[in-house]
Amino acid sequence: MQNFNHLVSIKDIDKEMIESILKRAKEIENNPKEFAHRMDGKILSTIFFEPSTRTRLSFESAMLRLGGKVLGFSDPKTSSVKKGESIADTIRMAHSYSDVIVMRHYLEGSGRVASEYSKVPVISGGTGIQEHPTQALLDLYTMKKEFGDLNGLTIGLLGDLRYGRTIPSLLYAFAKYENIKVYLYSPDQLRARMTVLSDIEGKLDYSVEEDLQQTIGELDVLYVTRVQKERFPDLSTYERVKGSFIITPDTLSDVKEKMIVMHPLPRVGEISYEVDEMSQARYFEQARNGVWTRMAILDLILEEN
Amino acid sequence: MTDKKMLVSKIDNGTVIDKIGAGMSLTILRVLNIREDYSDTVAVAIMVSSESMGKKDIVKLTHRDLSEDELKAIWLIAPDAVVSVIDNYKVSEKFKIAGKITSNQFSGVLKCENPSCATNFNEPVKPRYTLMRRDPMLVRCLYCDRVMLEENIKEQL
Repeated sequence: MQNFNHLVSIKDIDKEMIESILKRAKEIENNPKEFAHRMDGKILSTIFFEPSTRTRLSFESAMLRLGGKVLGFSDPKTSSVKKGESIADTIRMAHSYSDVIVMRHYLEGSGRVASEYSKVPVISGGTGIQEHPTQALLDLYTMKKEFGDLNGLTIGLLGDLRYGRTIPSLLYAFAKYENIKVYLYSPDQLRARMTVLSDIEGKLDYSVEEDLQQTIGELDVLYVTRVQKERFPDLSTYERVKGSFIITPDTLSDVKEKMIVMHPLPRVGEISYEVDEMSQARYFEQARNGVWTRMAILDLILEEN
Repeated sequence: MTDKKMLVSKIDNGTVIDKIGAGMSLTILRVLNIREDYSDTVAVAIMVSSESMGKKDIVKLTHRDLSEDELKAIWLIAPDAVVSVIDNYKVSEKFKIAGKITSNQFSGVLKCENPSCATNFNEPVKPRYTLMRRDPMLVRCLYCDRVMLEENIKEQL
């Protein structure tokens, strides 16, 4: 197994490590009390250069549930970052104050910079449009809980596959498994980036699809992401395509019995509220799984360091 | 080339970079950080006739050895370049840069073209890249994963 010094990209860890994280998450979920003092005396810094609700709160909850303490900032306007302090300097400050750092930053490459300057493990809470590795891991955990095994699954990724930072992390993770099949559904403007697709070429069975309805019957998982208005050059293009990327009970009329719908949240209309009551809806449970998965990541990364 | 034909005299110690594509020597000086205030003697010959290349450039650097990173940077600009290490007026080592390149990672030379790459901000890091393909050139930023195409790389050189 590789060293687990930092987690800034899914490419930093191998399949064995992914499986260890998922296994530990399950152990923690089954018996949280057993892990309630694992982080006694340890401090987590949460450094968020960009707003976040779920990622930051679930990491803080994870650390508190492990018996540790948290400090940090979630609004760069109130920190010296506003004065132009670099990532490197902010990290050198944070590693003096804590045992592990979770950082979200709007710049790509920021996670790599942080990991190079930190003496303690750095976990990415999202870096620009590049990656969001812990979201991908909690997504995998949700799928594994549901189906027992990730191998053999057919997964549809829908929405903004170009700027959604979890998409590359998910694809890199899927590519580590033997036979996951992926369908990619998005407006033309929001197709997965060529760099990401070339990374998984030959390693993952994927295809770019035009119409969700043609293949939805094959899916075990439909993973929905938000299509944002501001990503389109003009409003009329957005208005034209947005309907194809909204999930309603009708969309799900002809799906596999055990198929599930996931979404990293927050959703803004791309899954109608009626779907919440359907047996396929798994996005709120997915969010809950974030805490178990992040507890596992913290536990394993501090075990190694 | 005989002494009679030489534009610039031999150097006692240092490095000669030969077979640089015509007109690329100034880019190499820039990459090697050789500017107006450089303290050692540097000779640059531009558009020299060459049997194999038609025209070529040559750079002679006195009292300067090249690091691996510098060799890689030169190789990106001048893939056919040949380096001679001069020691007491004699060639102590002569090699094609291409033959010396063992890793496909390099730093310096280029600026990442992704405007939201952390290396383009006030960070104490030197951009690093993986050379994915030599011809046509394709490089990838090791920080932000942006892939840069030859036409865009050439604009920077």
